[in-house]
Amino acid sequence: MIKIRDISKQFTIKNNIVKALSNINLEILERDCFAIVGESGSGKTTLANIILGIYQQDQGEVLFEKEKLTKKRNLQLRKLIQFVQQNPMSTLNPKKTIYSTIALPLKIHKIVEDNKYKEKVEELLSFVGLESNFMDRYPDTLSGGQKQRVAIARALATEPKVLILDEPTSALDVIVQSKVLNLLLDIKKKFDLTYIFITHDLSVVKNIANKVVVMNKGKIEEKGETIEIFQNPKSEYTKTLIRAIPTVTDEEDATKP
Amino acid sequence: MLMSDKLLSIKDLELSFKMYEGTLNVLKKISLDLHKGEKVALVGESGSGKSVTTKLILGLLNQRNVIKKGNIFFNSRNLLDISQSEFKKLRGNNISIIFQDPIAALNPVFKIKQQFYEVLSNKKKISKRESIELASKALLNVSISDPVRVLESYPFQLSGGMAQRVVITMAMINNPDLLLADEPSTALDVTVQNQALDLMDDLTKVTNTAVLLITHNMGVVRRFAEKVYVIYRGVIVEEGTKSQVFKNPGHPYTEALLQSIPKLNGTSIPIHNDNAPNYAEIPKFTHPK
Ligand SMILES: Nc1ncnc2c1ncn2[C@@H]1O[C@H](COP(=O)(O)OP(=O)(O)OP(=O)(O)O)[C@@H](O)[C@H]1O
Ligand SMILES: Nc1ncnc2c1ncn2[C@@H]1O[C@H](COP(=O)(O)OP(=O)(O)OP(=O)(O)O)[C@@H](O)[C@H]1O
Ligand SMILES: [Mg+2]
Ligand SMILES: [Mg+2]
Repeated sequence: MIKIRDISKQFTIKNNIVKALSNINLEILERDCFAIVGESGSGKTTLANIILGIYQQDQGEVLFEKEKLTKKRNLQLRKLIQFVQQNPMSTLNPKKTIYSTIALPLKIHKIVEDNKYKEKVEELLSFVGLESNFMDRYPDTLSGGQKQRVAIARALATEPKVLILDEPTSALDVIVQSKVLNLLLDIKKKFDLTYIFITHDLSVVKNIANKVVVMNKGKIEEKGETIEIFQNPKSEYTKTLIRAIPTVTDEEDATKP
Repeated sequence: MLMSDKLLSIKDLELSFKMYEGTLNVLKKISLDLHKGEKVALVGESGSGKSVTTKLILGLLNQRNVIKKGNIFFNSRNLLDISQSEFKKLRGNNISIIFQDPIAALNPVFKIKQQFYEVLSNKKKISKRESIELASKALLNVSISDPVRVLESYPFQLSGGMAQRVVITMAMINNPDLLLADEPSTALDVTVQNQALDLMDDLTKVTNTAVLLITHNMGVVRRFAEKVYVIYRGVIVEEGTKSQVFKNPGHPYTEALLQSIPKLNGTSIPIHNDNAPNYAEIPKFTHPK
């Protein structure tokens, strides 16, 4: 579905060169739930931004169903690949109500008939456990987790094929998290979606992803099937990471490498 | 612990927002205590009123549609009665906060070094060079290997976890009496997360800082906190020591919360029972002291 070939990207800040990504190669198959985990600052969000055409890579290419992706994207492509950003609190437009935030992609991509917007927005909100009276509110009157759920609802609005989720449930309590994740899994199955799931919550990864790539300092440390990575981590960094996971039971600790 | 060690005492705190459709009651008589040097976790439902509680402690909710009742005693002064200029002195010096959204907490148009200078010079006279030195040293402690580059950056040039580490460092650099940490580690990898928790822990030991930690990560609570409050729809539903709450949860909401955690030895995301009772109607469970 998505092929990442030899991608590199660096930034320069006042004479300091930051190698955000160095020679990344990945293949994401249709219907994968592909987790990207690893060090903070290791280039995960940068990679997402390159796949989305928000950043231009210095080197390498991204293929989507064999088509080479450039920074310029047509409407159809933008509909098919959606993004839930890492900080929904600062990415929702403060001047727009929740209704107009979610209705906008419906209008742009003509997802439903003109007279059905309200119904559709209500449906999307209820997916993420928010009542319809949230429609008239503005982002700054919402809690962190409520904003995060609005961002997920907005991304689902265009009926994408690929969904990139960057820390999508970091502001949700575990009960709401389990509802949202199970819902995402249902939708995934129903519409054959592909997920790229970026997170620091390795317990979530263990339970949701079929493949994992571990990143460290802009490079791939290790990649493979989830079960394999958790049971038999090869790299020292991956081992350190798994050992550091905060758990709630002693049984979990017993499964650490 | 001595009674006189009490640093923060919230008593019957109520908060409502007057909205177009009617009044939204957000906090319904919550009470919560923190002693000097104590590590307390506040956990619970998304939207239950955790962040607004911290905003009330800091005097940040003053819009005309806000109704507040009750008391927030800080060193025996009622924070609901003091003026904005008094708050200004408290904020950053005596009470500091790690806001839930690190990017939004930073000023987008100033470099990180300028924002550190602002915080540091709020406490005492300091030169720009000294402030850069202090900030660099503090950033090294949270595994930022190139602090100079980070200090020269604007917020948008940092990764989520870097911005969060900047915000954590700023909140701790003046050794406050009370640190409010609202989801401080959501963007940190687990090793850096543990480091940040250890630093907060050091602070409670070295300068007797009390920490109110808000988090959805129960593993983090288990690692860090001594006492736990569980909040649901603006009501504290359970209160006890960490081991009491984890080993013998007394309120059905807490039980549901603990059951919904994805486990490292699990293979699927737990499913929450849809026919759950109305947790808000079940009385609060307080473990014996
Ligand atoms: N627009 C930018 N300008 C300059 N540097 C940038 C920019 N975007 C990212 N960087 C740098 O690139 C590196 C990788 O950042 P990225 O956001 O991809 O990390 P990440 O893996 O998502 O980390 P986190 O888990 O903390 O969110 C960091 O050092 C960051 O400071
Ligand atoms: N300015 C405001 N006007 C109206 N309602 C508000 C305002 N600020 C917060 N609320 C509401 O008050 C409730 C509590 O919000 P708060 O931000 O404290 O939740 P929280 O417990 O921190 O949740 P989360 O874990 O999702 O961050 C929410 O239902 C929210 O929608
Ligand atoms: Mg990121
Ligand atoms: Mg909050």
